[in-house]
Amino acid sequence: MKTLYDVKSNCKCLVKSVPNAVLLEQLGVFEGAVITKKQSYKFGGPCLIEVYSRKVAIGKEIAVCIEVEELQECEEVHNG
Amino acid sequence: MAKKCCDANLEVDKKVEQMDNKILLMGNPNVGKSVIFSSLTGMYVVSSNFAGTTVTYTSAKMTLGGKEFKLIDVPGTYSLNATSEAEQVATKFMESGAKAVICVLDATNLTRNLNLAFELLAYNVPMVFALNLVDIAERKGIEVKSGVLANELGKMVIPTIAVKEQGFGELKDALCHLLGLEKESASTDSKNTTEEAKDEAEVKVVDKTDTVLEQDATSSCGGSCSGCKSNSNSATTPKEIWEKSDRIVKKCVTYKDKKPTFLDKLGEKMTKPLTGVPIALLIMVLALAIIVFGGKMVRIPFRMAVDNAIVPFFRWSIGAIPMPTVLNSILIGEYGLFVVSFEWIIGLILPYVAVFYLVFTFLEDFGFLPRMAVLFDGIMRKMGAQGGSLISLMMGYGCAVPAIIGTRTATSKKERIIVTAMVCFAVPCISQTGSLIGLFSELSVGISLALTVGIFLLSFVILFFVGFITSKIVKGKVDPMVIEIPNLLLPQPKTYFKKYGVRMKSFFLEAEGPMLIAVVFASVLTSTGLLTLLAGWAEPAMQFWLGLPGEETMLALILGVIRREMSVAAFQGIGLSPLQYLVAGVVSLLYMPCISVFGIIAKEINFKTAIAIFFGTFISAIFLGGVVNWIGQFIIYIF
Repeated sequence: MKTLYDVKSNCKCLVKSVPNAVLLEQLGVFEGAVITKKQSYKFGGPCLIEVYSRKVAIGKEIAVCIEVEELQECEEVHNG
Repeated sequence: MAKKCCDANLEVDKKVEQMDNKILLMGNPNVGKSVIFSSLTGMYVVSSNFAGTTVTYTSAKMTLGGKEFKLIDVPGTYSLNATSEAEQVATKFMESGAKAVICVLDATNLTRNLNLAFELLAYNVPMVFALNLVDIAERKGIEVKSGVLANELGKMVIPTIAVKEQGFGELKDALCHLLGLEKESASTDSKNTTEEAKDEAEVKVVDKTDTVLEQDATSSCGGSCSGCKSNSNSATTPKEIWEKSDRIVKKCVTYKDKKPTFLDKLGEKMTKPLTGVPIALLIMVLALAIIVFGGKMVRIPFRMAVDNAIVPFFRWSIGAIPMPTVLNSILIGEYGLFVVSFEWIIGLILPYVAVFYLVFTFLEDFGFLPRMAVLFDGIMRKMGAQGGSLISLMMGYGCAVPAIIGTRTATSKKERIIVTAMVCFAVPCISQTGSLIGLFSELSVGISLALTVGIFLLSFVILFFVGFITSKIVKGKVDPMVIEIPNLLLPQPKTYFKKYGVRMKSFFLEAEGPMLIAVVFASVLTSTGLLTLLAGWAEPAMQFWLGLPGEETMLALILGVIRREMSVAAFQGIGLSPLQYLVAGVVSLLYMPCISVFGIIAKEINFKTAIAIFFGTFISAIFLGGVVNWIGQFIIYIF
């Protein structure tokens, strides 16, 4: 299964499992949530997602533990 | 979370629990609770545009219908799971028998805010909702029908724009209604009403309506006892909770397609690396330029006043009074109290502090800092911290004390220690930066600019090493970042200048005291000859290793313990060579943070860390200062 970190940018996905990090659920990243990955940052940087019209940044170590399912064919949108 | 650092909090909680007539102000982080608190009570608390500004609670008096209440600004939480320090505090307050709760909702982010609202409603405490940020919602094309929302929640919902103090009259009326008091608002002026407040009458009627939530709340808790939590959890998994909130949001929120404003677009660009990093660097360079040159401009009239009017006046008037030479020199000698305190504090430090907080307060309220956190999280991870800590680090460029207190939002003790060490070793506070710029400006423009840039670059290198080494020494793990990116907001003049005023006032109150002590200390040391004695003893070592004059260096090292900038100020006006300026700058940059910082470290982290930082900074300052001196000497020798 793909992780949030692997998913391409601007891809809508369904969250399948989240690691045990409290703030995640509270910010809207829980099992069954639909989120949009906006992008990830290079050099070990975080992932930026949009959830309930809010932007949330998630550190890489957590993002690689969030399993997701892509909801549509995601096109790679280059944003550096 | 480390137990030690929250003991103080928990102790105070007992006192609060016994407090009568409490009204709680609760809500998610960064929804404007602190701004509402300031307006309702007239007592100022610092607010910013990012989560976690209020890390502990504040309480102040407010009167409603002639009765006195205690309004409590509870730290923002996303839920009451009691998983963090802030949540524990919030839960305790809900259980402490409050008279009423004002729950602040963010109109631009209603779904998530409602999750907490449900949890709060389960406690059966009288409650009113303040639907805040309706102006930003409108900007984004979000319209919340407060009447419908009130119906769904079974409580009054008052639309507010906290930063413009709109809707507060209605909010107070609602509270009076809730508490069975006479209405306040004959006196409320009509300006304060938002358009949506028309719904208010309609809102109040719905109180008795049977909504799903009301049934939830009363069914299992037998009595209507305040603070007694009902066990009915119709929604238990996060998914169910979110879906429940989302159902309500769908009923009362309409979205219009609005063209993104300039701020929305800029906010978007600032989170993309390709555009964000250049914008961030540009903003920082611009900020630095404003501080350096603005400070210089502000300094001109200040210096003129000090040099031509204030100091001569005191020299003349005090000189006229017959007194012993020692006392005369303590008061108006070279390091005299009435000379140095004006020359250093007003003529040197104040202009830079004043300009710095103008800039920093803007950046804070703008929403710049969390975006920096995202862009530079990768680099911060390599230093052993995480992007979120960058906010504390940036605060450190103003003053180390609030920066260290701000690390309370860190989720691990290790992270607190790393960031504290970084701030103490390598981040100069604005008073110190101002003095350094002032000191270097004794040289030609080119050299002074080169030295300033050089010192800053060196401080970044040291920052990296300190983070890296501290993260290796301190056991444990630093949690990766999870941070919400707020909307970009243009600061409202009213809240902006209020905050700025409070900052300047606290600079005077908190910094002036120790500074005056340092000045008195300096004048006593110099005029009694004690300094010459000490310097004579240490001179050879200073001369040999640092290449700096003994007496001034000794004074710098002694005064530097009390206030950071004093370690720079002591070198003023004695005509050093460029290399000596550089060495003096390096020593003072790395030298111990001031005495109040040790106090705050001992209190916030522990005594051991304070001692380690005390000796660590002393040794590293002298050692690296010497290294810079010897490398410089070597380069000069070669060319």
